[in-house]
Amino acid sequence: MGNFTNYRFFKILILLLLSTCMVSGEVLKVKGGYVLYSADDKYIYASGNLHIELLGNSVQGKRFYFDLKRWEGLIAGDVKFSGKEYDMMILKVKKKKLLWMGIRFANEVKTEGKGLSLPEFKYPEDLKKAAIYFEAREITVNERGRVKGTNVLPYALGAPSLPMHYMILDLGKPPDRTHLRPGTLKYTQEEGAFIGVILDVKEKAYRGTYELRYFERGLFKIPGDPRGIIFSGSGSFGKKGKPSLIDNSVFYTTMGKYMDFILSSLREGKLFEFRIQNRVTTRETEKPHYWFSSSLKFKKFKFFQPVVEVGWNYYSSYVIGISTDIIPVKNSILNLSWVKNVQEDHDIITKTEVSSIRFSYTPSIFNLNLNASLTDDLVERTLRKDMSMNLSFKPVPFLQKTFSLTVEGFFMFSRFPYGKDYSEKLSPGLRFSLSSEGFILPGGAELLPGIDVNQMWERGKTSWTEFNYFLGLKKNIWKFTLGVDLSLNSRYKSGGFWVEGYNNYFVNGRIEFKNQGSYITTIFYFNDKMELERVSSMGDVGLFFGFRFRFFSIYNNLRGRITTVETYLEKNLRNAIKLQVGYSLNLKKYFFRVIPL
Amino acid sequence: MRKILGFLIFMGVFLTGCASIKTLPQDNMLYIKELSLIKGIKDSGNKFLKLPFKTGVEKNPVLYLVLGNAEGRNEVEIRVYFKGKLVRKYTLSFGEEGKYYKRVIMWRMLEVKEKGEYQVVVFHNGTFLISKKFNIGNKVKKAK
Repeated sequence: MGNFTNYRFFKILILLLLSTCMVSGEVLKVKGGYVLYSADDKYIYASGNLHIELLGNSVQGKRFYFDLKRWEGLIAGDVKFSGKEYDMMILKVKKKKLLWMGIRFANEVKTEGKGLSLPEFKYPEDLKKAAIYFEAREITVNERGRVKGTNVLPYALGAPSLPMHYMILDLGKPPDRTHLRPGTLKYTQEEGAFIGVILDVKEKAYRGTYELRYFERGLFKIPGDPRGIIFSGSGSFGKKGKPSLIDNSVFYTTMGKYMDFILSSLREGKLFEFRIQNRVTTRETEKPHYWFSSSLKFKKFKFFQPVVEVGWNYYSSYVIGISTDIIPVKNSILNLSWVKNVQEDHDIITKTEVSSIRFSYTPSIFNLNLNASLTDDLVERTLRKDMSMNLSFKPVPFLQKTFSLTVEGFFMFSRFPYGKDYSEKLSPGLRFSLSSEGFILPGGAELLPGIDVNQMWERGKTSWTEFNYFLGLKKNIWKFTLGVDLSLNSRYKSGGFWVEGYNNYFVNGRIEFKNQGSYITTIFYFNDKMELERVSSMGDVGLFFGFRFRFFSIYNNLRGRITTVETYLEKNLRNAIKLQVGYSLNLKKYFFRVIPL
Repeated sequence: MRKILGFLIFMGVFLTGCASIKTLPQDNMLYIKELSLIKGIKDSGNKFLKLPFKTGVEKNPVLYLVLGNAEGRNEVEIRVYFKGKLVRKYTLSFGEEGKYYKRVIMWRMLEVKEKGEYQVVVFHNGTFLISKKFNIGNKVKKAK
């Protein structure tokens, strides 16, 4: 039964994909000796005795350059247009109208038509650098940018493939009406294969996008559900260009029969803003969860905007809340709120009331954040108090901006029920941080120092002190960068008679090679006994035809073996799909991945 | 049965494709591979050497023209227009009948007296080939 359903689903999917290959009106037709089209660049180059038809206008010439992204280009060499001859003609399509400028080069440059600027053009040599390009005798383009070719020879990575009498070279933009188009196409050895179809709904009263994906794991012997369906999407009711009346989103998967459906609406008036949401979640193993929530905001005053919020679960719980944002002075915000939460789960009832104050003040010199809350448990009749304050000053630069000092103070207080009694925590603290953009030393080396000090007290009895030092040295030689980083960390905790603490330091050496978008970096990590602990190496090297070679490895010197290796060849195809072929030591297998971008 | 049908469909597509090879387009025309201005110097043999950096174009730059698909005897005319008027004209000839050149490089020092926007126009065997505008004389900041 399952196989039959899947077979039928595949058949429907293929029919849907084929139905997307509908055609619409021709805008551009290029006919001549040689036409080159690069789908990556969306650019046409043609040479020979050319006959061009652009928006019903006929032009003849020897060479044609046209950018389908900008809908502009030029035709050159013995150009004939409307009974006149030019050396060159600039063409531009704007609002479905043809703008043109004919140019003759004699002792003076003579022009006719609109004053158009010379467009940037691409040479055929550059167009042939694309991963996939097409040579054809004739090309037609419709208003959506859909490109069709006759007598086509496709080239993949510079190599000619099977010649075709007729071929669609580019699907173009999706139309502005309800339609189906191909969706996800993906394969990885870990997740299996995915194929999908997207439905774009563009109707007067409703607009949305939905995707139906079929996944196959059973064929590739991947554990988990062997095959299934994922359906997801969102949309909104309302006229195009106007605020939507109702928004909806849906997610459904056959894995665990999980479904999440949300209906929401936001209405904005001059005095009020009203939001309403209905959410249904179902799972195979649980009973459905219905959640309704609503909020009302009063917007009459600029500095005071109260909000009332209500939430209700069909089975067991509800939330009622009121909050307001107040702006007492410039660059500050004060929020007061009260929330009552009642939950019933497997005969356990929780009832809480939370009253809280949040205040932040951010003038140009410092940032002040204050949070305080009282949580009243109405069942256990207990009260929890939390308060925190943070004051941080903007970094102060000195010594000609070589160094910058940051100072931050914080204070935390909490009082919570602990058995029959209450427990209190009171923790003031300070943080100093000294950072530097670095110095240039004699010989061209760069020195980068940094210090970070944290001090915290708890109830005046226990004290924590933390020092972090960092020192980096870097030198560039040709395309290589040599670097040494030294970092020292010390932590001390004093409480009464005892002092606990530890300190350690790490050294690592780095060699980096960079050249035109490629790099190889090797880092040597030493422990505090200056023993070589491990060596990590990573790289990304550009190869021919846009292939990239990437690798990452870790050699553990203490164990005397390589612990991690991942190495693969990668190729981006038309900025739509990424192919990866390689080997992973962690997976202990060779892998092949097709990843959509 | 299904395999035979699949094989026949594949062979049908393959043979139709092979039959259309003779109708496939051939790019036989000379085309521009690069037209740019570079910094150059004259070596002892009175040839221009392309310097391995592009720092922008100062005074009297070298026009660097690379052509592809050249066949037989070719004549290339370079015209330079300033403010819409012809100020320089150079003619360069190359090639022999029956010979095919995949890549032809040409350069010419543009003796410029006034700074501004110049339009370089290239004609091949009397037919207009390409045109490009360059700002000459204005020092351009070194690219990082």
